[in-house]
Amino acid sequence: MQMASNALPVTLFLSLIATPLLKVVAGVLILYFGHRHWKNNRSENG
Amino acid sequence: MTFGEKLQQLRQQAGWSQDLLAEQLDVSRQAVSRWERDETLPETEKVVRIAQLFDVSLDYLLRQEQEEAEKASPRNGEQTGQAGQGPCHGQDNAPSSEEKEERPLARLLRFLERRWYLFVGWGLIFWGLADILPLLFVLLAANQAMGNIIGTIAGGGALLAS
Repeated sequence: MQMASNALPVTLFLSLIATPLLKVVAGVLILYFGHRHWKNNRSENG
Repeated sequence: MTFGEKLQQLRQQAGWSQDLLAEQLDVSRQAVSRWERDETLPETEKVVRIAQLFDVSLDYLLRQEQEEAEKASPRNGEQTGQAGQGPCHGQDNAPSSEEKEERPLARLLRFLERRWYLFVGWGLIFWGLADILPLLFVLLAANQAMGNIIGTIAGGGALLAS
């Protein structure tokens, strides 16, 4: 019973806040590093 | 005509900006500008791609002598039809209607190939926001409900006190 009551807030936090935030952060990181990689690999002289 | 002059002519005939050509070739606009000013030459792969994009032969793009020889003997120029202006063995260098139809899809695929991270990144961001937004609405609604409850309790307390 004690464990169940402890697990509920953690589960709620993970599913409602942490996972969506993680998605946003992952998206931002992918955009940042993807753009950097693309910019570096883009040939300047053709 | 130099390579740069030909490139500029082809690009302008197609109604493309330097930016658009640069995007098609996955190079910077400055690179295209330098090619057109004959400051540098593109890599072989890019020259092939330019020839494909504007439907001209590699020979036309790269051989300066051919053009000069044609100018020297106008009859030869007549035989090759538009060889002086239309570079691909008499073919019109404007893209065919079939190519025009295929272009948007092909362009999208090429764009996806190069800039896939844009779709993945923005997809994740919107997915995350879409998950968070309903939660915010729930929290707002709960907050309002709590406010009402507290208000009711406070009102009740005030009544009792009086």
